[in-house]
Amino acid sequence: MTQHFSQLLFAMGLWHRMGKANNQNLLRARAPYLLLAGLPFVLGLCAFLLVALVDPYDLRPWGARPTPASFARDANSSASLLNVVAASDVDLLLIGGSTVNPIDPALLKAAFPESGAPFNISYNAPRFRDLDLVFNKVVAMPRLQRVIVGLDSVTFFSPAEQESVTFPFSYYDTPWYNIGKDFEWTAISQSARLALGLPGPRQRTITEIEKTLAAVRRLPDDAQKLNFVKAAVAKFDRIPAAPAAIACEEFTALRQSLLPFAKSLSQRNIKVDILVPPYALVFYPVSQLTFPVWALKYRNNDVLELSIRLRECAVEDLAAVPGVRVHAFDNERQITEVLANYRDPGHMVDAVQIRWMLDAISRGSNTLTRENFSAYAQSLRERVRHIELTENNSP
Amino acid sequence: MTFSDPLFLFIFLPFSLLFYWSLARSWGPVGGYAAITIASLMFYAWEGWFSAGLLIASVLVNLAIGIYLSHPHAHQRKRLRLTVFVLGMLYNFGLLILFKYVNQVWALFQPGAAATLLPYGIPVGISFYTFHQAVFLADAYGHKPETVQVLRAGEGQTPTVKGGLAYAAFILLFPQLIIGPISYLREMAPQLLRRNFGSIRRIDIEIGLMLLAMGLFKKIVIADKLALFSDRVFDVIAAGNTVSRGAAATAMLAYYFQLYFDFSGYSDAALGIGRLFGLRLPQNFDSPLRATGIADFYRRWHMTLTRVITRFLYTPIAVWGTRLALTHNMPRRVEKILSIWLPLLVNFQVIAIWHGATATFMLFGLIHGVWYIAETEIRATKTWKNFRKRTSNLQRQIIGQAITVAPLILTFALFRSSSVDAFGRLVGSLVVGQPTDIVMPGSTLPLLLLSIFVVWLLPNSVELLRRYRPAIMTFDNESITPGIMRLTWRPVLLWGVICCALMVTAVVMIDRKSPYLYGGF
Repeated sequence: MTQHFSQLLFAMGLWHRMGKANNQNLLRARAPYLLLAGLPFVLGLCAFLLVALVDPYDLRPWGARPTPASFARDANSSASLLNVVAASDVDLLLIGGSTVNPIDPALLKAAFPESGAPFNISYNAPRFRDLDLVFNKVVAMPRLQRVIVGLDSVTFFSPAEQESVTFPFSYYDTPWYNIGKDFEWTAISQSARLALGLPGPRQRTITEIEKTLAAVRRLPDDAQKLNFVKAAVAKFDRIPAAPAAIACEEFTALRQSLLPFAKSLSQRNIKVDILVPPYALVFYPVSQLTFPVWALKYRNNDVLELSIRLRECAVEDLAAVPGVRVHAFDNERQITEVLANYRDPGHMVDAVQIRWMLDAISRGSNTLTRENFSAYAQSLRERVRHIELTENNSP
Repeated sequence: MTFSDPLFLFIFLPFSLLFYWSLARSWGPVGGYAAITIASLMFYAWEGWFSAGLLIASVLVNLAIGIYLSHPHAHQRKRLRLTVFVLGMLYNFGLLILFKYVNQVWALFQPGAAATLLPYGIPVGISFYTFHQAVFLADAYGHKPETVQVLRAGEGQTPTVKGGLAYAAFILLFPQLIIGPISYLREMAPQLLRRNFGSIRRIDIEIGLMLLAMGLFKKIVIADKLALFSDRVFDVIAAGNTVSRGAAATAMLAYYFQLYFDFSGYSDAALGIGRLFGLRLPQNFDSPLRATGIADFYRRWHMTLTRVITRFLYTPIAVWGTRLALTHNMPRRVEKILSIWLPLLVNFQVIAIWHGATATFMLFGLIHGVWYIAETEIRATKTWKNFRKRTSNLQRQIIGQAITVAPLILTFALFRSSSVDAFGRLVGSLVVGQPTDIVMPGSTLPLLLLSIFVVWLLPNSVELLRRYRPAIMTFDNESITPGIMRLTWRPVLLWGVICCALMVTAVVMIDRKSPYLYGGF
């Protein structure tokens, strides 16, 4: 108590001195002002030069030659490593949005033991423009054996001219013009590490990943999100809508980006797995409220029918491309019907289910084909149209 | 490049300062003007060669017209002089209309069209440098002594190359080129013509760094972080949704502070950078969110735009209206409409359209215009005069602020909304909210509290540094900072610590390089 009181008195004294024109003693000294005020600029200049010269993300022709192992896995900034990954020995690459963010390389390694160097380069809410840029870099990777691509709604339904707000600006510019655009704390610390020749951080083990995912707050525990889900389900139209009459050409990102990318990889005998993100069943009613712009863009079709049509087009387009498979887990009840697997309707964060899903991809199961697509679509429609949230907050 | 861009802060700014000091040391003021011109062109060229070419052409055309208008021989040919002046104005505002409004108006009549009529975006800063140059031409035409003096570089009877360079340095001066403040050449003339222009003065650096640190803190730490929530809500509303009452109210409040801290942060940084170059720029903000009414608000918000509009639009229309009414012996009410109401409505519509030709801006202008008229009329009533006599300044200040804040928050939200419909949905959400899945970042509430503290209790930057006259005073507003909080900055250790802390916090938080909101105007 006395200590707090003395701290308060000290703070009041400082305030009093700040208000007084005639400050005394050390506080009145003028010389240190310029030193202190200029210090951030000097330090900033040093840090700036360090990042520009070391070039930790390999954006420019000079600087260090980092590898993906030089970086700690950070789901929010992994897209910054695009150039680093493109020039690396990575043989299994996961590309997608936030729906596949939780999948660390260790989980990939467990599901695909034949892979020597797996990596996840997903970033939040990819859009056509930036994803195309990623595809163009990835397609030339020297040791690539397999690529898994998330078929995120936000990527394939959003207007083609949009770009992800989390994709680094640096990649849109020329090496000289982008100097300074990669200046942030991770870049500074990474540059210092590379400049000093320090080893890269230890990658997370499966146990650590499971522990991290177990700590994520789940949908049933979040009253605000849960109320929103309930309101969305209550509003959702139970009458089946007509299948979306949309030509596959209208899915620009699919036709102009994903399809050529898959064909190019196929020609190099690289396996491609398209992953329909395992959205919760309630995702569709919720998206009808949160993303009305999607439905609007595609002439008022509802999000469920729009999603089914996108997947149908993906299956149709890719059926003739050797080595390409489309995987969907929507009809796995233990995944999509259990809200406790999710942090929100679009993001599954349960380690057990993620591992099960990756194993299924590795085995080649849960694939969508021309033959089984109707049954898959009908089953999904039925289940989404008849969601009833129980007291356990599960459909 | 913006002021919060690391490339600007750590490379461009220090090196352009060194360049400026060294050239001024070698060649005196001419070297200083040349250094500012070159550095500013490099700064602006970052926005694209087309924009830079347009700007250079604009400077050269206006300089040529200004030289002609201020030349002694031109005064003998009044009609030609007037024609040249009108052509100069048409050139300036023609370019502004062509590049800023043609595509916007086209979009109004061709909704949903992917292509624009002109294949160019709005050149950055065109709204600001057009006003700078239009004011210059008006002053040159009016033969304002200080303006003419700059073109003559302070000596002789005819314009000189040195004067032309001083003019180019003034227009291109990068701290004010993109988002203002809108300054007059004649108010900058004494500084530009100073004999020791370009010499290093310690106090300039000390003040400049403090203002820059405050400006960056406002922008990066407060405005950009508040935007994380307000942007999300406004985007969701724009997409056709409604949100919960709490989310709508918080987003409106967050945007209210975001816009202020973004723009005033820019203005503080501009004052600071200008001062590093030894130049004092005009004050643009004077605690506007503490305004006691709409009239008071416009004496404190974007003050340099207010004074330009008042001088070149409001006053001429008001004078014309009064003359018309008096000449035709019109009734008192009509005279009032012509001399006060009409100029005010036109004034606010022009301010609104200056921001963009959209329905939201025009409605914003209409509401503020009507509000201004209503306030003017109320203040002219006997009831108000009696109320003034019965109450103290402090009482009226508190009541005025309490009445003003809610309409300001609402109209700022209108200003931000993507359409009038979206604004309707936002206001509707305040009344009948719907559950929403928008999660408020943990920083939003503490930042709102910090904003309230800074806005209503702390002195603004110019007031804090008042002892050293950090800016050219634009309006003479009375200080309404509580006495105990009227701190005074001095270049001493304690303020050095604060300056360093503000700057470090801002630099640490630079992550995404978000543009300034007024950069889009």
